[in-house]
Amino acid sequence: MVVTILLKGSLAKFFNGEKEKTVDLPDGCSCEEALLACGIDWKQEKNFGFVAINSKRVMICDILRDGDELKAYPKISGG
Amino acid sequence: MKKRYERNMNALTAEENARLSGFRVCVVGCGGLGGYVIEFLGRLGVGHITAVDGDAFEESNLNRQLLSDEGSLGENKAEAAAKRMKDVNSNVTVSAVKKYVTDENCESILRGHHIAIDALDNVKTRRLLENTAQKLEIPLVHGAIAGWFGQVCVIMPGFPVFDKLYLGSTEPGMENELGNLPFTAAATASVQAAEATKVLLGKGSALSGKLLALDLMSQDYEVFELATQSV
Repeated sequence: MVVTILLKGSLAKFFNGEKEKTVDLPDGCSCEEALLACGIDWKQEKNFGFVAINSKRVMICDILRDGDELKAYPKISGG
Repeated sequence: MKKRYERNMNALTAEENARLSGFRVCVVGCGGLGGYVIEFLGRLGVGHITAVDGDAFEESNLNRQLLSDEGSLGENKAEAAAKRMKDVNSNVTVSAVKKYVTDENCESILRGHHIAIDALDNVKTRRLLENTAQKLEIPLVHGAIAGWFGQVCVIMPGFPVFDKLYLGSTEPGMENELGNLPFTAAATASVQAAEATKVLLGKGSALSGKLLALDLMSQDYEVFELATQSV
């Protein structure tokens, strides 16, 4: 299946500054697995915030479908 | 209707503007976000604002914190908010609480307000604020910034969100890496003030249970539904 992954804010460093990548993944892949396939281990990234599929905030273990858009947002807490 | 509110008409009705004077808003944090929120709500005509901050201005605040200037370095931020509003709109009462919010004082500070504004700069105190607002059934308007990025969410009683936004973490976010820019603070605070006004006036909030993520670099503004599950 093909999924578009967009990285926001400081997470874009994982794509060398590119905002998005279209990636080919095995069917039934989770958000976590999709990010790992791109070299992103969210548990190791201190600024990792949350993920959304097609603009809905979801769990990191939620399953992606063909054509989905996965966005990863950094944690923001300044004031 | 006083002439000073003439340009609030007809975006607000005269009756709505008059009602604002009867509301009590608690702004927790009087730095980058809170300074602007207090300015906006005070100019709009909200009657009573409780400004809460135990911190004093330092030089690194001058890039974005509206209430600070070169002469106010060392001054308590909540006190500066009260002074400022006396000059801007003397019809508005600003009570300065020159304390940091703690487990011990949060409930007594928040009690009796119609709405609270989360203008803090750390996750740990934000969580305390959300828990207390939920307990007291007070709506809370969350705002946070980092670099060119901001976020706003309206947290209504019964629908807490920080477990979904911050997971189990109390660590700082991207702001440690990217700093905080003045226009990001102003833009994010503007959305907070607008949402607070709508909640107060019973107009509903477009961001109730949703997160607006602002990206001022790419001018990308997105609203997320916050799922009921947590990671």
